Amino acid sequence: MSGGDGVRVLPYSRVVGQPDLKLALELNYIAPRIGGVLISGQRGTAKSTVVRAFSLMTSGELPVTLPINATDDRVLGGWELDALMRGEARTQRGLLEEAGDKGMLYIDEVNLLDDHIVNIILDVVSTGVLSVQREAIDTVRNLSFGLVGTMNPEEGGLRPQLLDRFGLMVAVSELDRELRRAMVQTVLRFDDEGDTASPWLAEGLAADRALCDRLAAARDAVQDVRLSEDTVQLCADVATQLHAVGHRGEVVTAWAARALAAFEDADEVTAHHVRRVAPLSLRHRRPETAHGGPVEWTEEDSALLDGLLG
Amino acid sequence: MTGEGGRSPRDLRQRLLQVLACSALGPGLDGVLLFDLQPEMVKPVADAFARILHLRHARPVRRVVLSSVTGDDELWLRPVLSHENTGLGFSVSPGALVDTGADSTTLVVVPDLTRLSLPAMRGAVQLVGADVAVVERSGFRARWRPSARWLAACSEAEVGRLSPHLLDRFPIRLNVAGLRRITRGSDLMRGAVGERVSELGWDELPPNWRAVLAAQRRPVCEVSEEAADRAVELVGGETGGRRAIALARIARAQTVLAGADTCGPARVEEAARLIGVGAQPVPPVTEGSADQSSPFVSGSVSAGTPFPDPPRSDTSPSESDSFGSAVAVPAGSAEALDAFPAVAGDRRGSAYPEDDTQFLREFHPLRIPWLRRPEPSSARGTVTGVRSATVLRDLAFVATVVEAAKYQKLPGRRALREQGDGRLVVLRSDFRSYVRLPVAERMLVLLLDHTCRGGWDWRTALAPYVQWAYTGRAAVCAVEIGSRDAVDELRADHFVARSVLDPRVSAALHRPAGRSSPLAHGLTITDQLLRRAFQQRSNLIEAWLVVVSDGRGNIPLDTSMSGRLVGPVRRAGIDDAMTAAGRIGAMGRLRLHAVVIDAGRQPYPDLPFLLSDALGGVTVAGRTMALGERNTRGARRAD
Repeated sequence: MSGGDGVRVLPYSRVVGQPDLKLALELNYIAPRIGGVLISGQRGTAKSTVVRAFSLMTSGELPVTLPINATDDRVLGGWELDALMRGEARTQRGLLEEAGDKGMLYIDEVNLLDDHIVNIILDVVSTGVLSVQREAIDTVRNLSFGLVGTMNPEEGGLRPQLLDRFGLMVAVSELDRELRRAMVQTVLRFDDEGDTASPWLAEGLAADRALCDRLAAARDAVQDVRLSEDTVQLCADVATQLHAVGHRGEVVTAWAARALAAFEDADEVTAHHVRRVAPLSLRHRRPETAHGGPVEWTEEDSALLDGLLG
Repeated sequence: MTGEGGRSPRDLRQRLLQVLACSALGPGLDGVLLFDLQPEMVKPVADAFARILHLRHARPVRRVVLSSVTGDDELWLRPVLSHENTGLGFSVSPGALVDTGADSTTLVVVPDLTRLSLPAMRGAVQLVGADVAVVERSGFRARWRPSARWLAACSEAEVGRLSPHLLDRFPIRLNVAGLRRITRGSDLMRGAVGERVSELGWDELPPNWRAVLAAQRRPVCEVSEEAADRAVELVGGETGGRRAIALARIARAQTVLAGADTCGPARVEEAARLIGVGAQPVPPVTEGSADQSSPFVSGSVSAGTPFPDPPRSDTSPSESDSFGSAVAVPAGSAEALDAFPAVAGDRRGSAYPEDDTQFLREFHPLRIPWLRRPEPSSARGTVTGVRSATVLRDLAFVATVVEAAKYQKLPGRRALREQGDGRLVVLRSDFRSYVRLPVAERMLVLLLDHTCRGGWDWRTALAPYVQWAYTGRAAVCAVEIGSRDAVDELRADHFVARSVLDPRVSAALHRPAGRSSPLAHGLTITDQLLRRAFQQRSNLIEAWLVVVSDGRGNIPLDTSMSGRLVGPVRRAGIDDAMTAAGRIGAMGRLRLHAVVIDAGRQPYPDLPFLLSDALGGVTVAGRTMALGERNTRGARRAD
């Protein structure tokens, strides 16, 4: 699949393994109010590939990407320098504004981002307002977009404020040997066939289209999925038992469970849906993680959820 | 003649040419990392790689050399001044790493990866092996599919200084210790008469390889399931999948170079032998199979024999003391250099020495460090505004252009333009430069344990350090534990102040004591603060760590992190604190002085001494003690 500019990305359906990562992106697409996905994983675990492939599948283009080399004028918006040099005043939209139009901002290596840029993003995401008062620019615009970030935890964590802004968090899992072999073969095959009209690629793209249709249908249906008082109470109980910091955890859990129910074509959110999404929505809201500790989900945590949710 | 590790120079050259050819053939083999490459060999190797890339792509090779002083703006964009009919023109064009053009192939050369600048390291992480690269800087934006090849060199003994995240970007590794220039008599004669000669044995590249490299399309080569499985097996329990993929890709490239069309497990094993991936003995290859190893390497490395030792260097850096003798009271500036001896792991010659090398790198080496950089190099601190420029350094381009734009319609400016020329006229008075926050060169880190105070006025004991911070305009990091006002009594609080005049510093000295003493958490936070402050490229010239504590930490680190107290504490709080202090001591920074001010509390009077030993610092008496109590302590120390 081509993203323009000669960029080739493996079709989403051809990505081997990573069910949690895929589920998180899909839920965030179905219910954008979840607020984004943080993907944490060791190097070489296809984090960026999956995000780009998902964006290509759902929107037909690469995501609005904030690289770690970005300067604040490109984030906030500014003037076109070449035009200014010609004596013309032409504004240049910033990445936040573009993300507001497209609904998602992708930050690769989010934990390597300059603190100054992080502050700008936090300000806009928390207030929903992009206010630029600098360099003779005076604009105020309401914006809403989800953050999708990838990071390698070896290079450090995120500030708690930014961490909390990601609705879901996925710790990319390691593949077993069989899946690793499949992954190696997939990558090498894509090397050979990525620029060709191969049946293998066409099959992957067809699977992408089918999945995209299913996601779109779930997105339309998510508002109609019933969320009972009992299930809401269940979300709150889970967050309490896991000592989640703040209250965004239970809200996101409820939204994610609702999105999963819509994806599974269910009429009502059940404990099964909450059980499936709770590790994604609460993993990064526990005290040790929120205070800079490791992001680990232990057997004890799973047992606790099983005890509560069956 | 043989080189180090029993490999002959000819074999080394052949291995090197083979990995360069594999990288050129690709795909996905963009980064080549050579361990223990002699500095004088960087250019010959880069020349050989450039010639191979030229053969492969039939277009000029643009060479970019990155060093320790390469900055962000040089990497991503390039201001271009052009001479036009109406005067000088200015525009911004893609920088050195933006290889969007199809008219040339980019070869990025890094002579010493361990001394590469932080922006260039971050650039490498973004580009090498990536599907997509994006740049968004100063009004310039580009998105492209990276195709540049990276050739980097690094001492294997120093690999621990580098981020594994960065190292992982280089799929091809080779130890070339012992690689030397070719000094054949005929070449010397040709060189003497000005003829260009290959210093790396370019002419040793087999003709069939040249034919494959010169072909427009890389022949398709099927990689069998068994080969993929063998690649996964050979790299063992790696965390991601890059190594297995790299091994399979190298094997595939070797297969193509050898003219075969099927890549089986033997090819993967050959690739593993080529770059030095540790593996089990290889089963013999059957004669006549389509998966025969290339004679190029297997001529000297039999497929049926155990793996040969990879080449290794004998140039281990010498050990040196990492600690100087600490002094109790601040004096003048300390050394600007640190002794941070590099110790190699015991798997020298491995393709992945970082797996076994002692952790020597900075804390979060790829993150932009704090703003602890010196005045008056104003291009450092956070921008707080603009002002009229007095020098052409750190110019605020947009503010300059906006300032100039205000006056374009005035007659004076119009007179400077040709009739019909609508371009901007910028005068000297229009230039604006950034106003930046001043940044500190010194830092005082205070770890205040409020539970040890008990009526003691510690301001006298702290006075020399606070005065030093004031006169040196030092920044202050205060880590507080055991305060009754703490947000969470199980955790340490901290703040960073620009100077000791910050009112928070005074407030921190007078907080009431609480019940718990999360000393381990406080020291862990202190460790992180110090490591970030000393991060690479920082010009912090001196720092003092002053710990005021009785050493009686009663909160284990796990409890602080999780916020949950599970089971009896016993010595866990103290042990965790000593471990955290040991990590600070292990930093071995000569510019860091550590001192523990003894709160003089009973029982356990030895704990402050143990703490200072772990920190690599000294203990000074804080609380004035009665003579009898002092004698008792002296007796305990003597025991």
